[in-house]
Amino acid sequence: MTASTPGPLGRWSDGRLAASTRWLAARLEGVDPAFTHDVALTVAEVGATRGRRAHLGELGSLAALALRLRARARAGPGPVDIWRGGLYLGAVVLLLVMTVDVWTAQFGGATPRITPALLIGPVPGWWTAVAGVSGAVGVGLGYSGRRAGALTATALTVLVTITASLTAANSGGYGDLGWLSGLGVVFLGLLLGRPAQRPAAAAGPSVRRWPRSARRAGIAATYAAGPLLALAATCTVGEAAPVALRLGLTVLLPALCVLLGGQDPRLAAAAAVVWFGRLALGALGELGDALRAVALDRDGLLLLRWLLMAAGVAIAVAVTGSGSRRLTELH
Amino acid sequence: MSASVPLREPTFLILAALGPGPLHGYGVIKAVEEMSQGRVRLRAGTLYGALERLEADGLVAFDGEVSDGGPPRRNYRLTDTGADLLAQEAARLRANADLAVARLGLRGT
Repeated sequence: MTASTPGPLGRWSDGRLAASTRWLAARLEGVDPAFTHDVALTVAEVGATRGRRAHLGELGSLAALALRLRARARAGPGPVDIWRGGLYLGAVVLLLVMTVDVWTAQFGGATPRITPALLIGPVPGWWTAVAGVSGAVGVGLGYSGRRAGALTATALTVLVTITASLTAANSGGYGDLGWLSGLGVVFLGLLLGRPAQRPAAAAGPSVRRWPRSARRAGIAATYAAGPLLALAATCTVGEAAPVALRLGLTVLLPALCVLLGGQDPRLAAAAAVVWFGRLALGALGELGDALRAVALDRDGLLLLRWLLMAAGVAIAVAVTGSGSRRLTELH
Repeated sequence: MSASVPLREPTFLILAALGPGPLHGYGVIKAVEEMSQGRVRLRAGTLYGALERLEADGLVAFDGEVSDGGPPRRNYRLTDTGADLLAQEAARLRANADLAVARLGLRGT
């Protein structure tokens, strides 16, 4: 084995490349540790003989392999398994997005124009707060694979929304209906989907600092606290925060999931659920307005927006299908 | 077994690389590069993804660990089923190549 050739990638020192290789190799799921060890050795050997740039390329291919094996280990190899895994994941992410919206509506009262459909009841208040808490609890439970708990929390959120609509004099209408439609998508996703099967033991040579159960609980709590972080951002940044959060969670994050969906098709399926949920949350009703505007020879941007969202769902579904096939084919 | 002809090129080359005898992962990468005269450079992720599927399909098998001074490496060998599939694919490619050559020969007449 020859020494690594120095190159222009100074930031990627040999030590960092080696650490990255070990880290990625440790994320290969559903294979035995000897296989993982061998993959890491081969990547290191290719990097050592061909230089740092080639090593970086190998890290990319190792990451893609890790995603493919992860999808298969956590969902199963068949397209139905993949879709069920993606539906569940997408439902949890959609609930997270909607709960973030609720919290930003609750405390970003100065920005009602950009959070139109998210007040539970006529004004920010207890109903909205209760819906926000139950949504956050649902996100945490959903992430940790407790489907029954997540379904219960979602049902509670629906109940809160309906109760708020019935008890408030001037509540209800389109906003609440859109919100309920979104919760319906979440509920169906949780019901029809399947939580990821977590690996029984840590693979690879890396030493864990925390027990797996503690780390999982910590991650679930972080997910549940996500909406509260949105709240903090809203209070700190002001009006721009909800826009940035919405852009990040409903456009950039799902788009990233679609990009990675070629390797882990569950992610593309999850993006399809999130975008479909956003359509259900309001844009389905916008189609009529958009068509009316075009018919009246007025601004076609509304129709364009609707078409882009619908196209996003279609693309995510197509990527899920092709990614699922790749998982079961030789390549 | 899910594998059948036609095989994708990387899969074909991996099976062909293992034809003469067992190799470890890096050995397969080098063999494929040499066989294809540098045209095909397998990435480790592609190679091990394929090896894992080929092993599950019974086309290649784990053949023990070897160590030539360094850390032990997993060797892979071609199984009889894998050799049959490789032969089928080679015959198919040869038939297609013969066909193309024959048709090109007609151009001059």
